[in-house]
Amino acid sequence: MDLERGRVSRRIFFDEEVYHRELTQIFARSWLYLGHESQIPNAGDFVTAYMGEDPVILCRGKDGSIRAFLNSCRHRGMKVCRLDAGNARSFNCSFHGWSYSTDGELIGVPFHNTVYRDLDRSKLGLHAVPKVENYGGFIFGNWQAGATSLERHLGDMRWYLDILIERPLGGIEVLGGQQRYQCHSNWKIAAENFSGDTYHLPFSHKSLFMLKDVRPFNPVGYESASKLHTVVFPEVGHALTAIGTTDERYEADLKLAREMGPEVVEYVKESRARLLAKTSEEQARIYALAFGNVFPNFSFNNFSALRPLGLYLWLPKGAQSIEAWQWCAVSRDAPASVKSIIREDFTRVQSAAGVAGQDDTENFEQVTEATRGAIGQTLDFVYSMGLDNSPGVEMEGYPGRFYPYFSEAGQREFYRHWATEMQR
Amino acid sequence: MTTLLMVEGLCREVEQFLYREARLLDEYKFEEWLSVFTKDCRYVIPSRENRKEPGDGIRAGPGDLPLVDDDKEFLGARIARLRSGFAHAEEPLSRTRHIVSNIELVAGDLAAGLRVFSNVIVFQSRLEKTEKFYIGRRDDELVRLDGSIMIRRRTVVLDHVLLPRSLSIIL
Repeated sequence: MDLERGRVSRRIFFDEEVYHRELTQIFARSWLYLGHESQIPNAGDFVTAYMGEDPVILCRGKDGSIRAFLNSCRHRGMKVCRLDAGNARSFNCSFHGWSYSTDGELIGVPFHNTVYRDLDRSKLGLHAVPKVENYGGFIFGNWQAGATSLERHLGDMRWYLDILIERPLGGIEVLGGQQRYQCHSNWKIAAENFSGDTYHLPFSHKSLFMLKDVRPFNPVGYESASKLHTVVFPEVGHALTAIGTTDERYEADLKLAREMGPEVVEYVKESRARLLAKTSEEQARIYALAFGNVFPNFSFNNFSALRPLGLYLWLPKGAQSIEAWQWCAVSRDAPASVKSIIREDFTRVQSAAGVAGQDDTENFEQVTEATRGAIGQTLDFVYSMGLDNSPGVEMEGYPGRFYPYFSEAGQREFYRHWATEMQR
Repeated sequence: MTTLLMVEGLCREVEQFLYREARLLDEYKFEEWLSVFTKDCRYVIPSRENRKEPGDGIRAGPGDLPLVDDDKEFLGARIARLRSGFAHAEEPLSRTRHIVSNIELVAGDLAAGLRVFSNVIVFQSRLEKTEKFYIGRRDDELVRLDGSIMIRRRTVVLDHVLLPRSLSIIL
């Protein structure tokens, strides 16, 4: 890796040893996204998730707090929860009948007093994820008991995430259902795509832009690139793209809202007013985060209050394999007409069957096919765009370091942080 | 009393219609395929969760995120995209084979709406060796308009919770 020249060895995307090292150096030590609180509103509600390749249960306990556990019986490993989501009063192992409360305690061992002389149940609860923290409804877990807080990990990106969190009226609500698909690719190729690859948009997604006269496509979000920026957060490896510091996105929303009706105009105006009240003038001007990535593998996009909040996880399943999990979120109190166009937008564009999602898969898969050979792996990937802008500029009133819209700074910072974590 | 099962001619006609409709897709005759859908048609593929509740985790309600929920206009947009030369995910077009079977005439009639179930396996072969199977069942509403059978509503309920790949073909 030579980030001063914007070069990253192709090996890191295919090498099995590198992948196994990532499982301990990155995924066993980072804050990993588990789910949104709106998915588990009531006591006993759970969803299952992965941290690295470890299956976990994210569950709201009887006392209302949210915990996460390795989904594995402490006796001999059987999964104690074999559903994606639901509500449970306990988690029961089908192998030898051990059962656990929704707080993770071992509460039932069949024939306990007869068959075991010394079994300390208190030490055999489900293996807890020691740190589970909630930032604005987004729940993350960390396997390291001594990890710094989630807030520290999010760093200056928090200021921008607050826009995502505070703008929705009634808060964020994740729609029911999920989409999951396999993809023959290394997880980093997907994560770096959301970390700053604005350059691929006009080419990979050209067929999407050609559909601009079909609902829900409209000019919202397709502003002039010269007014937008890439924003990076060195030290933590996160990045944001297409950030605007004028009111252009809000104005575009208002224009579309006027065509849709007075309740939508009110919704858009109230969304901005809420941002102004809860955050700042600068944050209200940004209004929407376009797309970004929270290191290591949690991406999101949102271009407008009339467009989806897409949430994406790139789950590592081998050096050349991922599962992509994705969700669509809306403002809980948005008018029905707005929720309907948001649902339609995500389904048509970013969906696993959508007109944007498909083309990214083709890229990820064929990059993998072309570079897995012995010769291919001796080469580098080139991330030199915008090196002459290093280390980026500071904009008064806005955290992070700013680069032009077309830049590969987001990817460079992703790999810089990756390298630091791999060597730590 | 005549039940649907006894209407041999109708069964045969519906089967032949579904086989031909599938062949149009496999032969890349997308515009002709689209012409068998009514103007007010809807094409839905729910998403699927591994759940215990009734409904088997099938998600297609207004508060849910489906995989596909298209009207005729958007089906047309998908086809226009495929023909544009810029739909990289289908450039060149995948080779597909739609196997349709277990066709059952369930209820109604072609005047007001005939409900038809069928099972489908769609094989996709793409580029050198990217090959996937997509398996599910269809719940169709067919009508006869101007003498021809047409599809007013199709719901494809896939059996996958984890799709083998993102979906670049028309199922």
